[in-house]
Amino acid sequence: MNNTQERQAGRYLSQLDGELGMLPAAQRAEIVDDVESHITDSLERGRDIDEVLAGLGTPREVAKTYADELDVPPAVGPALRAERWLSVATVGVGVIVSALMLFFEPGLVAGAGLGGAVVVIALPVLLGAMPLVVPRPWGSIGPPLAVVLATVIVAAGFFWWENLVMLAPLMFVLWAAAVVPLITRSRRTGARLALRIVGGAAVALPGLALVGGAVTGALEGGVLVVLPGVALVAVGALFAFGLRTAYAIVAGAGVVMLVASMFGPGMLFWGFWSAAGLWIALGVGALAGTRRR
Amino acid sequence: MQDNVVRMDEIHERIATNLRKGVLEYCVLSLLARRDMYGLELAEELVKRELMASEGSLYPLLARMQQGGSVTSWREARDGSRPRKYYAITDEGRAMLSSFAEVWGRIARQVNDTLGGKA
Repeated sequence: MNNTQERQAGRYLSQLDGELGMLPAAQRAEIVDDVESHITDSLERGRDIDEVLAGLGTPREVAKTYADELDVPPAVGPALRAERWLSVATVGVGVIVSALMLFFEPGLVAGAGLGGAVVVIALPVLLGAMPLVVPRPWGSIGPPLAVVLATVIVAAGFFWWENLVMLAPLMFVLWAAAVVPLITRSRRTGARLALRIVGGAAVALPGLALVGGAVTGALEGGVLVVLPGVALVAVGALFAFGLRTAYAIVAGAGVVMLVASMFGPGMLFWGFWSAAGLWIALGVGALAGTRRR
Repeated sequence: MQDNVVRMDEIHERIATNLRKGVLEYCVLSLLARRDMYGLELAEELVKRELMASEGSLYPLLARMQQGGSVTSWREARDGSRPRKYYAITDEGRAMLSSFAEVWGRIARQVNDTLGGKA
């Protein structure tokens, strides 16, 4: 290939890669590879680059044929849609966690100095936005990278500086952002079912504890404890069953609890704060990963 | 008059495109049943036989056929050239091909009979 040919082929291939956005990165790379091979072979046969590219059709046409043949909706595939939903969630929760950090500002400044405090306050927003800002073709490492960082930071919070534990809700949502699109892409339904059951159990277990506590007398309050307990178990069961309304309830309750616990920090603050993050992750993750029927 | 000729060409092309769409897959299988081929070889063969208008539609088709299990592919450097992706027909593909040949023979006969005005 001479320079002009190479430039033309390169432009065609990168346009094709862009148009194939609905497919997973590995499959995209494979397709671009096949077409590149076709171009190289054709040029070796002495064909003209313009003729070769015209023979292939425009990158958009080729991408559309792929979408038709492989039965993927063009432009927005389910995995991409899930990624978008979850990006909104990670940015949103990142902003809320950063806002909470502002409440702790005096403590942060005392512990890490002004510069450290600024970093800690900005960190959740930056982590939440990370899956969005890492550009293609490195886009696929954005979510896992953000998850690893958030998990390490929360773990460090347990051993070293408790303020960092406050990032737990963001960590949960980032986990969802990393895992759900992968599951959506895979054709195995077993993984989806397993996630749904785990999610339902995570919602239902505290409810079971409440009901159990009330029945054995360990918890006082009678109906006031039993009712929310039963509600949690019911929502958890419906979640595991795969009802979208249950996903929405869990996500909505998570958002309400996250915001509410910010303004009423009590004894169990960390518990509510983290559980809220977990619920948002479960609810939004499940909503994003499934299609409306 | 000129317009009319263009329109006729368009109609011919549309009919041909629609008909080829359903049979291209089996023509690929049939070519691969003779020998393994890499992408451009297949593309050139199909274009030469006027079975495929756009070479760009071959690779998506091959991707689907591979997903469906009728063809398989691997990378190999033959005759000292650079590595290429070769395609071969699978047993499943051969079974599909022989079913297609039967159905095609029957339909071609039925269509010919109908067009020819026989019973």
